[in-house]
Formats: sequence, C-alpha cells, structure tokens
Amino acid sequence: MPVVPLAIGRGLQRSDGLGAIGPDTARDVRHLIVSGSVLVLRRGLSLTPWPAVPWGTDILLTVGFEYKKDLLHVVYDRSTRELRIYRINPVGPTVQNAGTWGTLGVNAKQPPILHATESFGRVFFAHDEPSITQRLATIYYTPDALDANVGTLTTWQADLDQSGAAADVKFAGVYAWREYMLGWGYNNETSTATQDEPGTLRVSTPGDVLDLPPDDWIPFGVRQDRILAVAAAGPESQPVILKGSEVYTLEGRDSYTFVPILRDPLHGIAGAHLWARADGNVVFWSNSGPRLYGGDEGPTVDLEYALGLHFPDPAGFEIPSNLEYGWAYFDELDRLVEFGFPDMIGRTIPTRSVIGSLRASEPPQWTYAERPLVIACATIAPLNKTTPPPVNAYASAVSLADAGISADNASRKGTVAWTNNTYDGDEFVQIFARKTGSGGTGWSLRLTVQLSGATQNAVVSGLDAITAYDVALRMVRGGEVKTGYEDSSNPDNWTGATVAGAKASGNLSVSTPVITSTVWSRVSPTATQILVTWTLADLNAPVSIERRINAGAYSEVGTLAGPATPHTFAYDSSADAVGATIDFRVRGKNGALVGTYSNVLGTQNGYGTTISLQQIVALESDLVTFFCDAVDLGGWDRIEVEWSADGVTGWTLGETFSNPTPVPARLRFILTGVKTNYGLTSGQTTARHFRATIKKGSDASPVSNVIGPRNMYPADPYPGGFSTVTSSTFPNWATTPAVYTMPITAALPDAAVLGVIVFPRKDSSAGLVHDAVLPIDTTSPLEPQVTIAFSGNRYAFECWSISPNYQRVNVIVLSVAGNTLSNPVP
Amino acid sequence: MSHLPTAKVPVFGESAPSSTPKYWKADAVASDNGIAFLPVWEWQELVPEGLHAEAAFRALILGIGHTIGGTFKVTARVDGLNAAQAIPIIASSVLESVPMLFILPQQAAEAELRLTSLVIPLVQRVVRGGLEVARWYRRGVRCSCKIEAVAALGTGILRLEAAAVDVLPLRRSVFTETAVVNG
Repeated sequence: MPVVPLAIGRGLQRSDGLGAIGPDTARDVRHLIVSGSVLVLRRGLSLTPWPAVPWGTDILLTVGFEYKKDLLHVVYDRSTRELRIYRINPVGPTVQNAGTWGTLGVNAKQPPILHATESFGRVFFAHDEPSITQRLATIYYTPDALDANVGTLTTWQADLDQSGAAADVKFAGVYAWREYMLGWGYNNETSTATQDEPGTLRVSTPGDVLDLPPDDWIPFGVRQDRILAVAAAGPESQPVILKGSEVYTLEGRDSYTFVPILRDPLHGIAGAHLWARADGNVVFWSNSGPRLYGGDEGPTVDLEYALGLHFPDPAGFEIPSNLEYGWAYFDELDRLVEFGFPDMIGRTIPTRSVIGSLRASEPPQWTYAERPLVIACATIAPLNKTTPPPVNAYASAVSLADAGISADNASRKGTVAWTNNTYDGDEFVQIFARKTGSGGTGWSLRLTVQLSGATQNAVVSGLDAITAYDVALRMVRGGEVKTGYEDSSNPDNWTGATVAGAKASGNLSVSTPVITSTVWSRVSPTATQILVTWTLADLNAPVSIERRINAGAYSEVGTLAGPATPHTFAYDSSADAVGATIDFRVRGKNGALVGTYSNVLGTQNGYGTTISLQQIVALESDLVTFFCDAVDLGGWDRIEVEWSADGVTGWTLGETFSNPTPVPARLRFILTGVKTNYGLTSGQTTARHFRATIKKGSDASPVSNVIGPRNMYPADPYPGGFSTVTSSTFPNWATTPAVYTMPITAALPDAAVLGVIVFPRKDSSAGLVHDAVLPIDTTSPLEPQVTIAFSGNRYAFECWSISPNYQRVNVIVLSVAGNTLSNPVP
Repeated sequence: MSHLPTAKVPVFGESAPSSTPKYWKADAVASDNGIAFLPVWEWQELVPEGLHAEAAFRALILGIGHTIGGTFKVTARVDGLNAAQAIPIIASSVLESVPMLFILPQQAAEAELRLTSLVIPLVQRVVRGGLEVARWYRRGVRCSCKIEAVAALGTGILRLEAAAVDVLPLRRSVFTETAVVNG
C-alpha cells in the first residue's frame, strides 16, 4: 500500500493552481500556527492576575513600559469622549489613574487613533487626529520615584517658532528611534497653517528627547500627504516612514545629514498600527496585503501571494474593509507576526487576524485566527517585574524642631531627625506630618528622602507657624514597606512594636512682630479708631493684639487668623477717654502656643498729629510768621493759633487758619496782628508766645511746641486817626472829575511812623478790590495826598502806617460810599 | 508554540460595548476569555497519480503530539465532494462520506508530550432507508482532508506533526473529469 506523506509546516497557499500547490499547504487553517515543520495550536487569551481597568469603554492603546516593567493603558470613554491613562503595577498589583489626557471635540475622529513610544524612562503619547484643530496636545508620562506611586502626565511644550513663548506640541505620532524622538504631523505653533504639517517629521536633540530644535524638520514627499507610521528597519535601525501609498527612509547620521529617500512609490501602510518589527524587518499591511521592508535600498517586498487575497476568503472568514484601526505585533518567542482587524465602528465580533510565522527561512507562512471579542489593540508587555525584597528598616528616636521661616515667608520649616535601624541602605524614608489634633485624615506625605546613615535628618517645608505638628516615618523600597506600615494615608493605623518610636511631635515657632505705627482717626461722628500696623516675617501667622490705657494692664482686644495680611488691626477707641494714651503690643498666637511680644507703641486717643512750629527769624520782625512741617495733615480742617504772654499760662485763641488745598510740604502762617486777637495795646510792641493745635471738628491734635517770644504790634486804626476829611473834600461822584486829588491828613503820634501808603480799593462786581497802588506823596509824608482816577461809585481807602522797617503797623480803612465817610469799612 | 520561559507576552485591549474594557495576555489555553476556539486545518488537494489517473484514498494517517484532550473530525473531500453533501443514487438511497471522529485523551498537567499515530479510514457509504448497506474507500483523482475540533479542547499542547494518505492507484484514464459536485 503506497503511502503518500504530506509535509506539514506550511501555511496557506491559495493563489497557485493545482499544478503548483500540494497538500503541504492549506486552503484553510485557523487557530493553528506554523512552527517549523508542524502546526501547533495558537495561544488563547486569559485574564491577567492584575486589576481590571475601572472606567471607560475602549482600551485603545496598551504600552509595555520597559523601564518600570509596568503596563500603561490609554482608555477611552465613548459617551464622554474622555481619554485617560491608567497604570498597571504588577507589584501589588494595583491599577492607578495617572490622569486625564483630554476630552475630544465632537468633530474629532472617533474612536481616536493614538500612538505611544517609550524613551529615556518616559512614555510619550500622541493623538493621530487628521484635523489639527481637534488634535490633543502631545503628552508624556513620567514615573514617580517610588514605584508604589503613580507617575504624572505632562503636556509637551516647545517654542518652535522662536517667539519666546512655548506652546503645546501636537504631533500626530511619535516614535523613539535610538536616542532621538521622532514626531510627525506638526511643525510650529504660529498658526493653524504652520501647525498642520501632515507630511513633516521632526527630530529631537539626541539624548534630550524633549528638546526640539526649531529648524530640525524634514518633509517627506507631498507635505499634505499624511505620515501614518514610523518604524525602524535593518541592521542599523534605519527610520522607515510609512504613508498611505509610499514608503520612505530617513538617511543620515545627524541633523546636518538627515535626508528623506523614497523607497517604495507604490505601496504604503493601510493603518497607523498595522506594522511590526520582526527580525530587523518592518512587516506592514498595505492595501494589497502584507509587505516587508528590510532596510535595504530596494522597494518593499510582497508577502501577500500565498494568502490569495484576490480570492474570496474561506467561508466565514472575512477581513474587514476598515483597516485603519488594525493592529499588529511581533511575538519573538513564537516568532510570529499577527495582523488584527477589529470592527471599531460597529463593534461586531469576531476580531479576525492573519498570523505569519517567521520561524522558517522562507516567506512567512500564513494562518488565520478569530477571537469572539473586539480586540482594539495589541502589544508586547514585560512580565518580569519582581517584587522587591521585604523592608525591615524602621525609624526611631524621631524628633521635630522648628527650622526657621521659609524663603517666601509664607510658611515655616521643621527639621525632622531620626535614627535608622536594620536598614540595607537602598530604602527611602517617607515623612508624614499632620497638625496635632487633626485626626487620622490630617496626615499627608510631606517628604521622601533616600535613607542615609545611622542617624539622619531632613527639613520639611510648608508648615504653619506657631503650630504643633505630629510626624511619622516609614521606610519603603520599590512598592514594599515594612510589615505593619502598610497604610499609606493614615499612620495612626500602623501597627507593631517599632511604630511608637517612629513618631514624634513638635511645635513650630513664629517671628516677633514689630509695630510700626498707631494712627488715630475719626471714622464717623460717633466712632473713632486707632489703626495698628505691624510687620511680621511670618506672613500667615495668627496673632493676638493687646492694649493698655494710660499705662494700665494689658488686655487682648483682637486676634487675627492667618493669613493676616496686611498686618493691621483697627482698634475701636470710641469708648476710650479722649486724650488717653493707648499702648499696643502684638504677638503670634495659636491656641496655647504664643510667640514673643512685639515692641510697645502707643498714641493719644484723639487727633494725633502734632505740628511743629518754626519761627522765622529776622525779616519782618513786626509780623509774626512761623512755619510748620505738615505731618499727616490729611483730613484736618483748621489750625488754631493760641498766644500767651508768658508761654506757660493764659493761652488764648488768637487766630484760626483754614486747611489749604493742596497742603504744601511746609505751611506758612502770618499772624495778622489784630489787636483784639492778641491782647495788644495800640501803639505798643508787646511780646507774645505762640502755640498751635490741629483741629477737625471737635477733635484736636496734641498741642504743638511753643515758640516765642516775638514782638507784636497791633494793626490798629492809627491813634488820632486822620484829620477829619470834611464832606466838602469828598468827591461828588456825579460831578467828580476823572482825576481828583483828595488830601489826607493825620496826626501821627508815633514819630517812628514815616508815612502812609494808600491802597485805593474800588468797587467791582467782586466787591471791593485793590486798585493800583498809589505812589507816596513824599513832599509831605505826614500829610499825604492821593490823586485818584475815579471809576465806579464807591471807594475805600486803606491807609497803612509805615514803620522804619516798612512793616505794616496798622491799617485804617476809609470808605466813601455815597459821599459818606465811614471808618472802618463796613 | 514555544514553552520557553519568557519575560514578555502579547497583551490585548478590548473595545467593550456594554462594560468596562478588559485586557488579556496570550496564554496556553484553547479559549479566548473563556470562549473555546476550534482549530481547523484543511490542506490543498493531493493528486497522487496525476490528473489523468484515479486512486483509492483509503486512510489518512496522522501523527499528533499532544497533552491536550479533544474530539476531532476528519472529513475527506475527493474530487470536490463535500462530506456534508449526500448524493442520491437510487430511490431511497444516498451516497455519502463517512465523517470520522477521533478523540485525544486529556493528559495530566506537566505530563510529557504524548505522540500518537492515528489511521483514519476515508470511506463513503450507501445508506438505504437509513441503514448502511455498503461502504468502500473514497476513490477519485484529487483528495484533501479537513481536520477540525468539534468541541472545546482541554488544556495543553497540540501539534500536528505528520500526515500521510494511504493511496492505491486504480487506473489511468484519458478522461480527466469525473462526476464532480462543487463542494
């Protein structure tokens, strides 16, 4: 009986005819893969021992994070269009939400196509969205220093248009190639037009993948034709840039020599993830089936022939037409590459795939598979994350002491000191802290430091001044902690004999305030206040304000909880006696904890501003003039000048001066010398002392210094007055000529008086105003005459007696109104 | 598939219409998320004597290495005649291929690979009135077989390592065509 052996070990061969094919090939083979000369059952899918993803509808991308031996999932929720990154830590194991990447706009492609690549300990994610306005920013995941903690997501920013301001980078895809990062689909941030560069590739600085030199970008073919994927092929790991209908390579060694080379002008990739790197070749799925590029100078190689894709698929097996969501991976152990074709739109099952075995030296041997699930992505993930060795180290003799104020003055620092026990030296020390009395929920991890030495200390920042704190320490290594210290949020739950020694309490201090001013003011007709202002280095420290009246006992009048900025307190002095001296002091205070008292600064309960009188020396000795420096005269409405004969007693109000506007830096007051104001005797020079008080309403400042004595001479009507000017000598306004000479005679008993100056004052719409000064008729100084050019119907004359110093001595005013002499001016 | 220890495995993520998505790893199981998959192998046709001759295809000889257990069916297609089709020949009689089943016993975990040879007759029969009245070997110009699992497999390894067909040349003919029913 002849037996015809059948060679097993080849996959599908559906293209050749009866004369070329044989029973060693197959027309249908499913769930088996070619392995050398045999067919073996493919591997199935089973759940991992790791936690499930707790949210979303699609795991669109799974990344095997080699650096940390973790698994990162990019999870999408179709109802909210939100994208999140979840981290699976096989040690624990734990699932952690690293954060939200973003939320897609309603017009964005859904579900989205994403890219991820690992480089220099980070994983980069890009959103392959054709519309630049809908594209999310490119982000990267940075793992935490402690393996137990989830890492952080950061938006990649760069100043690519050299405008001086960095902006979000929006690559459509990223690929880590050697020490470079390659990103495509984005040029610079200036405008939508410059952002959207579908056919452009950017290259980072070698070794610094976050640094994108603005000028390092390469266009591949037509710039509007999108780059879909980037891989690397060949023994020198040459970048392969795959478009929809072309394949390029990036030649060169650095940014000066990089140049695009077209390798295959006829074939491109059918979907962003339909490629795998297998044995140094890039195997990808084109619109005509699988192809291979080996990094050489030739075009891509057809691998489709045996699949017979130009024939109908076996009954019940159909490759979907929507290829853009396809995925691929290379299983190095079984030496197979699998292309999967999920229905991501209708989500129908099964997901069909084509498996190519590369175990033999000949072209891949193809078989089929189908899975009753919608498989959205596939990757190769590390499984060899090991549990770190147990942690035996613990802290003892822990203490907390104040370490001074922080650089920004907003908080204080505390020095935590402790002793390390039974340690290996590669542990980390976690320092937890809480405000004493805040309970289990008050704990928070404040600092993590490398364990170093038998005794150690570390400075914890961000603590509140004048506050009591509890601290607790534990040692960690990788994701492991010492038994009994597992609770990461509440050290109150730690158990074991060593826990008590790993905890301590201490008080933070506070700086000493300095009161800089106490200013009294009236805030309403019935209320006054004293505004206390101080400086305190601890900006946010709570304080207590105390006061005493007239050197009595201090009592607390107010407290301010931190932050107490500005450092002021308005003390209501309405009920306190006017004129009482009120002293203030301030200190930090928080419950039973108190700081050092400030200086004592007080003020009078009343108008506190005092003016200082400064007398003019020489010049007009008969006119008392003094200056004063205005010290916070805002709000005052008058200054009252008092006089005294002896400068001690008998003070009497002399004159009142109103508030000038604006208030000059120095005020000048000229006393008028009115006899009745200053108790003067006509014709006599009398010494007087002066002092002043600022008044506002009924409030008064403290009295100023006393100046004097200065001589005052009364500005009297001249004794004896002028000789009678008869009515006949007065002009008749109706008939008075335009120029009239009016004699003025006077008996001047004081021989020192030299004469008079007549200042005519004529009537005007503004009342009597000074007319031009008339010259002195010196021919008869004691009998002057004035020549007046009349106008108007009323005149008054000021006659000034002149002393040897031309100081005004007295003034009489003669008025002529309707031919009637009156003295003085009514 | 390789059973060398590995640090890396394929991991797959799901698009879930009605629940939170799962993720799986490739594993040495004959199921996907607990749903069994059934392997199929159908080889291209054997023409042992050339298109101008005819032979009797008497048996399929399989060499299988396994630890997995399962039930498999072998169906011969000779000259395009599909085993699912029965050809009426005379009244109340049909000519049909006889599906052959073979069972691989499940081996214990960690057991060594069990190598077995199976001789599976390739026969057809006449059934009259529901009773088999005659059977003989398949005869024709071209022959292919389809081997498929018919129920969920157990756990373990399955390797189709060798196959042969017992062929008896019968005659040479100038006619290259025999009665063919498209299968």
